[in-house]
Amino acid sequence: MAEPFWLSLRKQFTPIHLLGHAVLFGVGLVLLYPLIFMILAGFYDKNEFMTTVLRVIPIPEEPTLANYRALILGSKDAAVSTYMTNSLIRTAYNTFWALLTSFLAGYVFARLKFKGREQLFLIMLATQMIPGTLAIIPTYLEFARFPFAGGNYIFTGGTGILNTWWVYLIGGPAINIMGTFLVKQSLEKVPIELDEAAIVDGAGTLRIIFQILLPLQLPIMAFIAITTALGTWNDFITPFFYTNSDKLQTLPSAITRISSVGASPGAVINYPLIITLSLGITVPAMLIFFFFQKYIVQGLANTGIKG
Amino acid sequence: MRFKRVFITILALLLALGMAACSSGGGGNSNGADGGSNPSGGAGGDANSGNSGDSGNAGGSGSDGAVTIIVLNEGAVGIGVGVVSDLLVEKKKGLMEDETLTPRVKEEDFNYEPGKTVNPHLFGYLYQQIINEKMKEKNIVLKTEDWGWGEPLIQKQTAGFLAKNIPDIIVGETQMPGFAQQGLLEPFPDDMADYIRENIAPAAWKPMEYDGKIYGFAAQPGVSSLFWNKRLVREAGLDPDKAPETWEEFAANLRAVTEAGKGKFYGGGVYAGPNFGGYLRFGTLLVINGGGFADDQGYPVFNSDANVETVTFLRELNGYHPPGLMVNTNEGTYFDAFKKEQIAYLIDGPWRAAESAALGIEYGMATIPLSPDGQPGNITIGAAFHAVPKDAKNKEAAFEYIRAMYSEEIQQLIADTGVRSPVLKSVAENGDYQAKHPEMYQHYLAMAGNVQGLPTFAKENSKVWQIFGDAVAKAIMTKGDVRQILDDAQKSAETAVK
Repeated sequence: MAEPFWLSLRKQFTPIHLLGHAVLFGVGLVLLYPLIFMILAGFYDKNEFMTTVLRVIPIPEEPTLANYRALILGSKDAAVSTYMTNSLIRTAYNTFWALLTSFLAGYVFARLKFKGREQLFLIMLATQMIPGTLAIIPTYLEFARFPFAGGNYIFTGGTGILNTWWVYLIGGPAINIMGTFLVKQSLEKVPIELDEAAIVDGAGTLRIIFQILLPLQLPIMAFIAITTALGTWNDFITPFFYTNSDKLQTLPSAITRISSVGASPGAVINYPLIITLSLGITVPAMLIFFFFQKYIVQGLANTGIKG
Repeated sequence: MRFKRVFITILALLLALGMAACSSGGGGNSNGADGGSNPSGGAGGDANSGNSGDSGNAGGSGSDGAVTIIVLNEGAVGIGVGVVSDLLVEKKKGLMEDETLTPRVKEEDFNYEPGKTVNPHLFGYLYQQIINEKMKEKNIVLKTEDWGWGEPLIQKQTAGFLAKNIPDIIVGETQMPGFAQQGLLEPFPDDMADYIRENIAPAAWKPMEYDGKIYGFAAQPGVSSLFWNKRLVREAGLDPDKAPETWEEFAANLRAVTEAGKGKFYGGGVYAGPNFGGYLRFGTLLVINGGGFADDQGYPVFNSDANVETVTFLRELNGYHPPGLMVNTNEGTYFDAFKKEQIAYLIDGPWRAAESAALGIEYGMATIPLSPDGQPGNITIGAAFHAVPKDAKNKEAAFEYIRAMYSEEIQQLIADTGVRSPVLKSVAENGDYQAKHPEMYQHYLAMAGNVQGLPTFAKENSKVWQIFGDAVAKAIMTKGDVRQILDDAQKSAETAVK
């Protein structure tokens, strides 16, 4: 019989539990503080923000909604709806490709036997060791030399696919190596007899993959989707380096531009606007994490990677 | 097994797509969602188009043979991204509607007449308008792009140079002399260089001179001055209108303000963080005291007697700051402290004057105090050097743009705005200017004197700068022997440049 609610509540009032709650509350407050600061800073006017010594809880003397208006409706400094739309499209597109490539590649490495499989897998994993920033310039060159595009005669002469949507369409759906690794790990734990039984029942390979194995991998697929979506949503490097047009910017790259140009000599940075626009990146990412965190845990647990 | 082959093929394709992203050749049309906005595509003389006319992506260039040049934005004069003629219309509308500007912009403000005071909010607009008109006369269409500033800009420019995909005019600060030395920039034509040497203050071009050629120009560079908050100085019982003239007086004032502040505000002094923001500011004290960073060959000279003396003085100044502020790695934090009236004195570029006025800070501005045996000297700061890359598509048109930057009209506009000093001697040395803007005239005189740019070290430039910056921060923050710390830094730097 289940324990009455009041009894379980009373157990929470032991000194050790109270201490635990106090510590958790304190840590939670520390983690939440930056968000609280950002929300309140958004009500500041640029000048007041610059000239006032901010208190721990910053409350402006003359609050303004201008920054939140800019976040929702856009402003002369920021075409937020364009940035937001680009961010959403990129995120959805990259997530779709990450799921597809991870699952198919993971299946190949887990189930199919072919010469050089282990070596190929190791090479793929090894690419994870290369820091992302090292790839910026080679990738830039790759896009600039893209054959027969942007005025290129075979490889040179023009601008390739730089500053076009192709940067996102071609450069985005790179194989998700971490995802491939996780799917492989997870599929290796599924008995091969399941595939064999399906074959006996007349199922083809595609049916085995998409109707039998895929449903078993939903937690890991959710994990891949969440991490890819968060990564793409926060990514400023791709739009910032490989595109110039305002119409191609996403929210993170637009903020990087506003803040970095604001740092040039003589310019004045509008910190409250930048902080408010940053909320447009942070809050959706937090919500995704908040609502889907159980899938992240479950997904990792399925692969056997546990802390 | 048939499916095995199919999947291995799919895997190979995915790998190729993901890791190379260049084998499908499917990107034929590059216009995508933003037709005609390629970085250099707008250049009428696209290398691919040869003599056959426009390439189709020559944004804005029509059949009248107009040449479109791409110019990188910088914050002080940027009005947006795109064709300048279009941007001017939008910018005017935006300025008129902006309720947050003080003073509000009115229609009549746009009727600028040389010699009359300018609403500072209009500076970027008027600057672009004048240059745009001058370019129109030469049948040149101006288009701007925004590549950011600081480290992101340097990375993007480096990639652009490698890919030979670079705008016709690039802009930057500390990285530009390095680009010139690496042979990435086009030297100014001789007639231009001769005119500049004769008629322009050295701060605008001297740091961009290499091997007898000029590679870049800044229309409104700066040198550092001493600024102080008169209210805080008054509270310390000092004369708020009198600037300290020697290091001794400077330190005494800082001490007095710090004591009067009782932890609420401090004397301050100079930012000395281990980054270019720091080198540009405290570097002026090294120059004044006869020290420096490197010799003519780009080899480090960190441990000279003059440098040891200066760094020892910096250590003293650290005592007049809130703990950790003087060498904070984020320079913005230091300048915020001045804006928030937490420190009274600082050394910074000329924009500090206009910014302080806008924020309602009663400020003073003067030349930097001298050390006992010191001579006036300075380091160019906040200079947005414009240069023409070797791989620019329209070099002649790009040089026309630079000529417009030092034209009488642009320089007069800079003078009338009063935020920076002009660099054209005929404008700056005019009696009317001296009378209307005495502080900025002093600033101009400082720009015309012993002014240097930050050097580029012979090898491992970033690493050697970091060695020096870290050593200075260590000397300031610890009680270690300053000479020993700088000797160690010198040794490490010498090893790095070998």
